[in-house]
Amino acid sequence: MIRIGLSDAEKRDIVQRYIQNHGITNVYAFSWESFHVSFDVDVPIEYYGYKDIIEYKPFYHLLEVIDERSLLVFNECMRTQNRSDLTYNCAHHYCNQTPHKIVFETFPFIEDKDDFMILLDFLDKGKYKGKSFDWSFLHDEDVRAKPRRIIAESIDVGHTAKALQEYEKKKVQLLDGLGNSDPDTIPRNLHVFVGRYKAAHILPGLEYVARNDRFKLPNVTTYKHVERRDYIVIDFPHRRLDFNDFLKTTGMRRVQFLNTGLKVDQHYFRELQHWIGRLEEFYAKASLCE
Amino acid sequence: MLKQVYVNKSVLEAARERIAYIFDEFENIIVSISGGKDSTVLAHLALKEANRRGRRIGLFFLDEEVVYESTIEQVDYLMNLYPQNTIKLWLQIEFNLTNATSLTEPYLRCWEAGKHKIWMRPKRKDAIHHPSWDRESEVILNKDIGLDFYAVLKNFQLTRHNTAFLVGLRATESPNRWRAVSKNPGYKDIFWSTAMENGNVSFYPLYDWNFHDIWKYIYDEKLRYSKIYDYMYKKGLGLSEIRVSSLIHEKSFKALVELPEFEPKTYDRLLRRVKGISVGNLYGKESKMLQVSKLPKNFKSWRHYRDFLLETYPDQTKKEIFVRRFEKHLDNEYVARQQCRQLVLNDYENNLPVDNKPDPRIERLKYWQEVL
Repeated sequence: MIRIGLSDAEKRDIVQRYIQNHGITNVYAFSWESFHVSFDVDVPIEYYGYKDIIEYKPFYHLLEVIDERSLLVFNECMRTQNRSDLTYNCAHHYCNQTPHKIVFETFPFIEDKDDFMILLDFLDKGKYKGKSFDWSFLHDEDVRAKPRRIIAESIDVGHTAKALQEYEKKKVQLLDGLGNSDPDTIPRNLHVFVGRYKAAHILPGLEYVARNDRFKLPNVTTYKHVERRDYIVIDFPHRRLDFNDFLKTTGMRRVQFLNTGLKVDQHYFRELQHWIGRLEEFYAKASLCE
Repeated sequence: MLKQVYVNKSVLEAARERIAYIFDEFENIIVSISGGKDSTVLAHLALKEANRRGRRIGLFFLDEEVVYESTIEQVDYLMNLYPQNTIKLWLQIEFNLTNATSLTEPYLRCWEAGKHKIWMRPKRKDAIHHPSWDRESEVILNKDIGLDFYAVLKNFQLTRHNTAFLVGLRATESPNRWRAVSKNPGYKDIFWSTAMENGNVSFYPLYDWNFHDIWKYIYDEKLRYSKIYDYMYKKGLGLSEIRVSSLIHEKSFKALVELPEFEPKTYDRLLRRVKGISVGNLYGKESKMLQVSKLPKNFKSWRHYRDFLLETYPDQTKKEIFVRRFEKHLDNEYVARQQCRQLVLNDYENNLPVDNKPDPRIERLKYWQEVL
């Protein structure tokens, strides 16, 4: 089964009930290290980090011990959009040995609905191999989602004519000096650059998050160090997965963004809005809400 | 992705019927084997049919000398599975193999006369040691390399008449090749075949088998298979990377990185036999070396790197081949990187074709210029 958007308590409850109803004798739980969940169960349970999945020692051990009465739990294990990633392939070897699999994810995809195939592959790789996403698959399997709705709000801080001039100059400088570097580094660098126009709008008493520690302020933290609370976003991480992790860790539903109105800020904010749009579309079309 | 249509018949049943049909239609049958999993299955199916009918078929193996020891053990196993039904066609003759790991020894002349002391292993007594065709009228497919692997196959096939050659080609493994060979029926209305000279026909009875079908058959029939598959699987190599073939050509040299771990003795012999082996071992998966995926730091651009490689290319004749080929290409960084790969891997045969198109990086740059 696949369950989207559940809390840790709800995940524990589902695992417990599944064990009781299916005569499970052993549980093997795989988690992305930052989102580890301890399950209180009456049968032996072994925990593995996502990074353990490809390690020799657990790999051969698990191939020996997983049988048709074992339950595999994959908790927040969608970590790359590459469906053929080695970690997924190793996990499929475990999955082939038992019909009992539970997949928990906070969001149904990293970037778009095609990523959902990664979760379906955990259930039955043979069945979905080489197939692209189709809405009907959601009804072929036991899939339920508790929508986690995200709202994006822009705190418009504006920019001066001088800022715009500096921005354009920086853009040209980045384009000219790109050399053989990845073109995607240009928006990343520009986004960080425009942070200087936001510094004056960082207010005491409020918590902010930025891509790095350059502001040196006690109320501005980095994405690596966020806790479960609300933050105002100064700049976004470039990878969608990192921002999804941020939302998972903080539990935030309302994303407020300090927006200078410069094109790079507009771009990142628009990308977030599009992602939210895709998420809403998935929830609406999938009709899987509990 | 090829579209598969399922019918109410297993691939095994279908393959048995196809092989039976070939036995009905052809007096002479030869199975090409490589020591890999597909040809193991094909040879076993054909040998069983030969055994059932009390007939003899040829098992053809073109020995490239520089192969895994496990491959040789596997071929030996297949040649001796049904000895009463097998005609051994194990070719150990001199021909040229591309060596992607050395620019100073661009190809290896396998089984070269006078070098028997450093051959990977002695020639077998039951092998064919000399070409069975007329050397005067020998077919050469690529004049730059001379008698190569494909030319040997061609010449061997020309010595036969009205013979069915069975090949373990599977459509899912090589869709492009499959499209190429299955466009037209090669024999009567059989699309899984290709017509050749002298009334010879290549047949592909396993064309619709998947990876899992092959392994299931090997398991069910308790067949032996090359140990290399186990080593590679344990090592975590992707399914598409797991293959047994020559150890030194431009598509397989990466195997040299793991070879000392899998077969230390083979690696040791190979070091003495061919130049460039330790380079392949050390740098086969290095992004700035043989992978040619990252630009070495002392070059400004891929074009700069390509020009340097061309300028310093040691073999003038081969250099001309590259120059002529590159003249037809677009001049951008995307193409230049692939040209560098050809030069570094000494691919004058163009086995790693260049994707000659506008640079996608420029498109990305244009996008950011508009958006930002």
